[in-house]
Amino acid sequence: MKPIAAVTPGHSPYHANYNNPVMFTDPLGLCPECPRDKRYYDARDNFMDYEPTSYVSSNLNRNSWVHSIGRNSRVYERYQMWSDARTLGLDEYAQKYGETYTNMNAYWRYYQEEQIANGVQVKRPQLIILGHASRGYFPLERTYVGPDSPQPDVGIDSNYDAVYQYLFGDGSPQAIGPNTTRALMNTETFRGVHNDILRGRRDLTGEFRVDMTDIVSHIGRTLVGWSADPSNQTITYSLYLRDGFWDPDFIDERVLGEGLGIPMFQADGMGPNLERLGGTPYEYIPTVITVPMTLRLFKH
Amino acid sequence: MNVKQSKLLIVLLSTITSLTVLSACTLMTEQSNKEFPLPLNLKAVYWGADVQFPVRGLVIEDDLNVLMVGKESKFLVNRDTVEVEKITKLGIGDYRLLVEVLDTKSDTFYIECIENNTGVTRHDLSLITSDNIDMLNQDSIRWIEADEITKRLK
Repeated sequence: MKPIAAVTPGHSPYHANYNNPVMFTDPLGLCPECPRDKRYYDARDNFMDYEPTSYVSSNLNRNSWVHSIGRNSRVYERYQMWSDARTLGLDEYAQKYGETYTNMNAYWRYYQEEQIANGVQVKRPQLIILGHASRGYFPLERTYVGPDSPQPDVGIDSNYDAVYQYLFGDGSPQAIGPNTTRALMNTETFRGVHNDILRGRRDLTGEFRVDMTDIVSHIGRTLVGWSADPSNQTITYSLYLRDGFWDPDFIDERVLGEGLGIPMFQADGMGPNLERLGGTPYEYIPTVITVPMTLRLFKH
Repeated sequence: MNVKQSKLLIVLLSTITSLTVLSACTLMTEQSNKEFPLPLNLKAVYWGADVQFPVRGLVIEDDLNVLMVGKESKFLVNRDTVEVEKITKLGIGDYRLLVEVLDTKSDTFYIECIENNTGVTRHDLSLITSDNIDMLNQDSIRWIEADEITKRLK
């Protein structure tokens, strides 16, 4: 039985090399690929609960942004700084380098333009197409949920939960449940942006809006932020940013307030004028999810 | 019937009423009114309290709803990072978009969105910033006040 079988969920503890000695090696007999493979850990060295067989070969991981530009000291330095930003946190990073993520995005573009101007051929990011993600959906149960995120088995996960919390809750911020998060991450918008990031068609950080009105109506339109970390080959998404359940009767607010312009129904921010039901508005706790760049989504 | 049940009943009745009103109003107003189409597959959208609080106001999104220009987005202008406070004017051309922006220091600067055909990056768009409108090509540009668009979208 393998000593660290707990880190290979989905496999028998008595297997060797995931029953695939051609693709995987396990010289120590502990865990094929796992301990020395950075892909299974996030920037904080937390284990990412992915099924290792979804990765075909560790060599593929070398065809990455970091690899293609890693030999250039200047841009590597930039990525090192970016990596520090993930490790240190934004405040310490800003103190150390006096820079922001925005500058990183701009420098990333400037660097490439400069290279072209100097006649240097810039290698484009290589795409990695792997494993079970070919189903085209985020398998949330296999996605690492960061330490700042709610546990996957708690949270507001239906309109009933949302309204109940509004009526009988104390207004404290609430986490959103896994079903809602899974639905959000499988929207066409989310998958499209994710694929764009993998293709190098987006900046390292950014925000986008997802309209969940027809899927989970209490979420409505919500905001998602991302930050890509090429050095660690991960993308971190923050869902439901500064969103909340301001009112169960938001439809009135949209139709009568915004649509027809009746003043008493117009929103005035958190907890608009429609608290006639005696509820207490509350914020959503942002859900932070880190996924590897190797997870490509299709059907876009 | 206890207090909790009565509260839930009130919510259900209220929601049913709202849905009825919503259905009627949806027939009268088309969803397309909520987006103002712009060149390069961009669109102007109003981010109200239902998206975020505090309200972000009028923003420019691309075809995948990714924020291109809006309150709190940051740009490098003359090697300084400036933060957008408000979009004040949009200049619409055939194949490009000019955005007049007020930053948090109440200074005006401009962002030109053009198709990225340099082959340098895979981005669909190139965003060029300048604090001087004369530096940007204004040929065949039609300017629209952002407040006018906001009124149509809200």
